[in-house]
Amino acid sequence: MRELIKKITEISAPSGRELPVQKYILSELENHIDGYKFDNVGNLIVWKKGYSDNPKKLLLDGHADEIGVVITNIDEKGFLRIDPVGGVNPLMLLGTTIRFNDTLGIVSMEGETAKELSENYSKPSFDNLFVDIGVTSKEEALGKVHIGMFGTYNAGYHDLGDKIVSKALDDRIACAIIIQVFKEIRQPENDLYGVFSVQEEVGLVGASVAAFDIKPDMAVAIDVTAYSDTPKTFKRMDINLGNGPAIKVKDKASISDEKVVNALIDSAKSEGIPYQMEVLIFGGTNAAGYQMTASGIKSGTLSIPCRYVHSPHEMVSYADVTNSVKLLKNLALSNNI
Amino acid sequence: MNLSAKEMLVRLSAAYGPPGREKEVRDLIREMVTEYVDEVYEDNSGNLVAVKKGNSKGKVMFSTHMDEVCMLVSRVMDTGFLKLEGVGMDPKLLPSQKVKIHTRSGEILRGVIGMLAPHLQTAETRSKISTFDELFVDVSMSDISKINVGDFVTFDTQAVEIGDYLYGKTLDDRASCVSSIVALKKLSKIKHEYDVYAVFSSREEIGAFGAKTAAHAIDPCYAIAVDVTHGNENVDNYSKVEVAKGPVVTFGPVIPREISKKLCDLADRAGIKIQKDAAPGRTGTDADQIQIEGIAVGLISIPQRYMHNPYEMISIKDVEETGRLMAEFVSSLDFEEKEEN
Amino acid sequence: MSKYLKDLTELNGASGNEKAVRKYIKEKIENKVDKIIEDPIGNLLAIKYSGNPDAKKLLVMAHMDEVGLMVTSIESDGRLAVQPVGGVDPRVLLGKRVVVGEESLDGIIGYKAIHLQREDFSTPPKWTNIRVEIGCSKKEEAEKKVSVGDYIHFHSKFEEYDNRYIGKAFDDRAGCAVLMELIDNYNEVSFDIYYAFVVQEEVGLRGSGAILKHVKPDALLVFEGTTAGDNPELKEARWSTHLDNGPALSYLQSGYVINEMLFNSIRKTADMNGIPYQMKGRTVGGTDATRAARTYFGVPGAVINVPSRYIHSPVCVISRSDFDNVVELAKKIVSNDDYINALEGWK
Repeated sequence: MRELIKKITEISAPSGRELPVQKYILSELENHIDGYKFDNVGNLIVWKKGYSDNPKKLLLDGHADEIGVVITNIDEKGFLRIDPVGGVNPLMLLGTTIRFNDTLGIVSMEGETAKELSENYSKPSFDNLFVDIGVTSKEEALGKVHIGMFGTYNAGYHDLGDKIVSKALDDRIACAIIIQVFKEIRQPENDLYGVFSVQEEVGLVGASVAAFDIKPDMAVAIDVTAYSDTPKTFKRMDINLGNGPAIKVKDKASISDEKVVNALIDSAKSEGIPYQMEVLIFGGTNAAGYQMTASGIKSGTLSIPCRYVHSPHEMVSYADVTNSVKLLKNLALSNNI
Repeated sequence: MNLSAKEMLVRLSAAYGPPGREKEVRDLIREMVTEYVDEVYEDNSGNLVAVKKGNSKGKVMFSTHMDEVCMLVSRVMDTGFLKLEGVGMDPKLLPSQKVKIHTRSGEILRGVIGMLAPHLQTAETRSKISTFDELFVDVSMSDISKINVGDFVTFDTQAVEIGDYLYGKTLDDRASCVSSIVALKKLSKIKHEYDVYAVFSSREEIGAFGAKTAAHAIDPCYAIAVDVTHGNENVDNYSKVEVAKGPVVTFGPVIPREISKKLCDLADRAGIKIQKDAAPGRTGTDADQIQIEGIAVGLISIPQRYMHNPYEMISIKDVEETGRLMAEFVSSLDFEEKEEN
Repeated sequence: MSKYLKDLTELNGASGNEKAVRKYIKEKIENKVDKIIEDPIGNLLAIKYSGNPDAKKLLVMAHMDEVGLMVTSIESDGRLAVQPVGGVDPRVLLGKRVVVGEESLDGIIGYKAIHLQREDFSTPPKWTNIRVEIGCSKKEEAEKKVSVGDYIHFHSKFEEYDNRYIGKAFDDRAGCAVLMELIDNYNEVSFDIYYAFVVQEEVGLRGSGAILKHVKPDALLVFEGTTAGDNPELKEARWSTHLDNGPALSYLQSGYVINEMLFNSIRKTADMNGIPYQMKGRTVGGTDATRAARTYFGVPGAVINVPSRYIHSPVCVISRSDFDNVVELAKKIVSNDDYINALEGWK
């Protein structure tokens, strides 16, 4: 699965520009699905029909978009201004590179005096930083980029053994997991849907509408969660890389449905798959979008513990990833939907 | 069951029902309401819906939420203490509280939220509040191995009547649930044209998920949301509302003006004393999500002091009068001209 | 010059109080469309059918509401305490005339005389010290004229200059005027057009979702009034739009990334017809496109903006040429299939 994770995280696909990664996902899923479609807002929905006469419907969601930036202004000398796409901390941009297709950008800071520069570094914002793409004029810049062009971190994939580091593990790791589940389940009893949803990072957009027509019996969002296992870190939480997939009870956007929580626990216990319970004190996932859909869908989240979320170098445990695949396969093949 | 409003309030206050975990409250309300209605069911969002048929001229929906503010265990420390995350909870209320921890097996364990004794405090520590990052639950009196991250934690308090008021937890919003039952009881004795869908909604405290999905499923012509509002407090810039001076009718964009005015007229004619308040934007109740579904929704509020406290304060009479006003609204629809679209 | 801009901007219709605006629009359009729907929360939806039963559906949208104030308390001295309806900066209210309540009474927002200020000279006004004066000296007197919950609107007359209009509520009566021009200039096309004049955008995009109970559109096009920021307080690199540079196109806004194919279709139409346009320079602020994308089955959308200086204040300024170009661009877009078919290749 490592090669899959590498390829899927390397693709540059921020919110609103998910098609490139969705196309890659379709190529990986060829021969493993019964059908697919793109819905009204661009969610990629795939499915595998169950053999039961009265199949239940299980929906697994992984959002296809990553956070990024968009070019809002190009000045006379070819320097760019950007705004965030999703939750981008300007601190994360300084000292790393970003890319707009094949164009590399270096992020730097305004400062007409040493004092001002230093002050700006201590409170960076999109108002006082700019991007240098190495050109000398607006024309030259327009040969490579344009206003309204989207970009992402320019950071690669690193395999550290059990730990995997890359940009966009949020939420491509979930996409990879769902692909793997579809590959490994030959013949489900129940209908299995995979949603590679759009624009989660700007406001859970895709997940608010993806299930409107499907009306699944259960929806499980798969997303990264935080961590509490680095030096002097969040003392109020208890999420550890390597302790297994995290079954989320609550975050700031929703409380997971009891039925989903119990089904996930059961799917782990029945095969001795390690798991941990999760309460996240910030953040939200697509589960909230599914819970609000139409007349309501029982939804929850299975989380992959992840360090440094929304940075260019996010880190997960490969064991947690493979255990998530096992757990979700069990769920799909169970009676708990 | 034929319980008085007070008996219903006391029982519902004690019941366990955090957002998304309202089963105990659902079961209790079902028992209380069954004799007055034609059908009771639980929908896919965990709402309890009690239906009293009229003549099917149209549908009117009540929305009162069952869920309570609470806490969850966010970490189990090896030293025998728990860390918490709050839902609508002011951490300042927690030092020296007894709490119940609801474990996965269903067993309820006890805990105490403590704080350093005065002798051990310094001038500096005395001037600070303890947030959820500092607070801890002492569970040394219980078997910590039974406690998990994600277990819900609630106040361990019993409602008490003092003078004309009732003080207890979760009167936000179970007091409104009682008003809804009072309304259904009245309606059970009369004929009315509209079918009434009394929704006891889930998860209002974390975003009104229950009300939104119920409104979508039922698609009523009208809805009345009932929640609590701040009484007896001086809120800068807002006219004061008082506990025991009657239900509050809200004016604001979320509520069609005709409905606010109609509720005032109905109250006047029925001899129900009401108060008025203004909400220039969102109301912070089930009404917000019901309105976004395109439904004409009214909002009646029960004045309450000490909202989200272990001892919230309401007047039982306000609860009964609110129920009465809800029933009046349903009856008034007999004369409503229905527009076809 | 728009026939409707003056009337529309002078009408009073803060979020939740759009009835005068709705009435005006309905009267003007009812004989020009095939069907009109007024829904339970105050939206107005007009339809022109193409006559083709399998026709695609285009939804165009503008919001009728403006920002304003609401009476939240009647003080003992007969003055009114207020809270904003929508995003109003209290600093724009000092020394202004307002219109109060159902009876449209006159009101004034004054402020303590400069002579009497000390350290408070440098503190900005807060909602707790802004008071509306309606000529009453006691609470009982005022209670006879106004009630808690009454709306208060800016008092602002529309003025026309060479290339400038001054007035209130261009956000989004300019959008409403565009829709009305589209109805006046309707040309037969292969698709049905739904014109939605929605309520309560300013208090949380509250009206637009309900429109989708009546139509499942193939695409949405929103017309909005948007920020400019092109004044000395802000460096040019952080302006949102610049007056006279033409209709402003959004590509990203709060809560939604504009659909790329619809965006490209707008540019194509503008280029082909020599209509100038600019890209918005900022991505803050939401529009009803955000609501439509996340409601029910979801609707892909794009937004065309009329740049407006000083929005959400009693005195806004727009460019006549910008407004005319938005109308021109709108007309060109709805008179052919390019926009409605822009999403084809994607599926």
